Amino acid sequence: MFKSLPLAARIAAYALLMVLAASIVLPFLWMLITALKTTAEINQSPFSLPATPNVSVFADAWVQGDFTRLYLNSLGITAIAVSGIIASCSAAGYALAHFEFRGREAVFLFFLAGMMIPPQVIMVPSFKLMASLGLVNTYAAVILTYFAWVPFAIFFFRAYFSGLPKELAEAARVEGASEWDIFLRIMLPLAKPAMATVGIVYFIWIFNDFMWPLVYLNDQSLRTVTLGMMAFQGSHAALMNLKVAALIIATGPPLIIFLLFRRQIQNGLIEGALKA
Amino acid sequence: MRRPGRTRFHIVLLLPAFVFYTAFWMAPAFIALLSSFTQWNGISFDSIRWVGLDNYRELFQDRWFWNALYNNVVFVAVVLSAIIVLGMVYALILNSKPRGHSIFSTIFFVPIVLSSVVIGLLSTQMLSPTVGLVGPALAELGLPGLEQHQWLGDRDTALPMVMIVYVWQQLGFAILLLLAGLRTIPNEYVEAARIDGASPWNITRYITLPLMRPVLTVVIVLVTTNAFLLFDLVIVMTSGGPFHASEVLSVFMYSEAFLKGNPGYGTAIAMMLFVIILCVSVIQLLLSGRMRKDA
Repeated sequence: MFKSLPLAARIAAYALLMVLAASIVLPFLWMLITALKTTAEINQSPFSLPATPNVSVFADAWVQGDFTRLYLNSLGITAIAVSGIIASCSAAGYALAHFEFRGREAVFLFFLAGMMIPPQVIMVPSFKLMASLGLVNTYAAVILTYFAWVPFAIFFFRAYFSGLPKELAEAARVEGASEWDIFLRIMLPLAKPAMATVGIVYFIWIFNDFMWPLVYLNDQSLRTVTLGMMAFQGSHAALMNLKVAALIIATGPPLIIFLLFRRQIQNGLIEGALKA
Repeated sequence: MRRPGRTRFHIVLLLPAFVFYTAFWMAPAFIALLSSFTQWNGISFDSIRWVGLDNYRELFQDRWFWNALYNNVVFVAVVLSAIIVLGMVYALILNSKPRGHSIFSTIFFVPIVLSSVVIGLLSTQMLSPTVGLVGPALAELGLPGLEQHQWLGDRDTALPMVMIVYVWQQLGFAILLLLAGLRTIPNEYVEAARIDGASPWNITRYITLPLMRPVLTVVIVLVTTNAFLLFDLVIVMTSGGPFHASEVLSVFMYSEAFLKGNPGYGTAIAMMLFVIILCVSVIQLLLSGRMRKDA
């Protein structure tokens, strides 16, 4: 296909590809070079290379930014929230797909309605609610709010379970299996691909989320990576090379995970966006 | 299928999701609606006063509301056109499988997994005068004077910079979805047209684009909704400044509700945001309904 294009079009296409690729690669290169320079070198010229690369800057930034705590907080909150979402929404999706009961359509529509209510709309009352429950400045506040973020996951699981044959469950029922057995031992194992998709999409959303931690978590010891980064960059005490090194520390892990699980992440995001 | 009434197992399955969702999403949404009709200092419950439509009346007379709405609409219009046009161009190029296309797409998709906070902070550093990358690079290219320019501190450049960074951040996701859409188009259609002597441009114009309408609609709706809800990047890069120049609706709401202590007024702003999102969703439903009729 590409080879059938005229030469000028092919050159233009490559030029466009190079421009966008450069706009993504160059900032990373700049970050790396800047982090390794001394303050004097940074002030002298933004393009020069460091005379002696200062590799210890990453260790300093890790300690000064308190990254061990930030990553533990972020990963802990995200892991609990994502597992909760997968557990509760796979169950709800299965119920909506395989059981017939009065009001089923109404319940499904009720769950879908939340898709039209973005977090910004409930930001203020959610804060009041958590404050009245005494949960502001606790992990519970963010986690409970993430637990409530179900519409997309339910929609996705329901669609997935609808595609599984109901005869499987019927056969097991005839054999005398309990409903719990059917759900936990037959249906859930079959839904692993759906769990992976939902897990990936929610992991990226929640790990990168900034708004809810900003609203709920003031305490320094509770900060997530996004909040901690914001605070560290705002502190005037930190030097430019340290700030940039901290940015590299914050981009590194997501980048490595992306490169390792590229296919799964891409397919998860595509399915998530185009099916919902 | 289970006959109704034979078991109550579905209730057990639905309960956890239902409880969390009702208590921590729908109830706050309902409180948001109610409290947009009240005035409240946000501290003690005794201070809640029902003020009817006062918040909304005040809102429509508040020049900073109109400013935020205007900024938001301009932002959506600019980033939507840029993302759709560029996204389509890049998706078409990648779909024709030039040499190295998989390396290019890997690079293009990187911003998808980075948080807005990291992207915003990185951009802020790159845009900082003298020591950043952008100003000095432009000065080097023969545009002196820009070295010292405060990109994010200047009324005229603050919001445009946020727009550029937003497009940079979201473009990969749009390319990813559009590329997935392009791959669903049967190769035979394109082959048949090519054998009949159609030019690449005509194939794109009369075969590819019409078949892409459903995916394009999804991408347009997603980008529009997300762009109306813009929050993180603005908070990180400009906090809405300088002097409201880059303030959009959710940032305006945040500063009224949390920084200036007017939660009631803040929820009235949130309701306007909700109405906008609702309109986008309704338009999408109408469009997809019409498409189904066409098909």
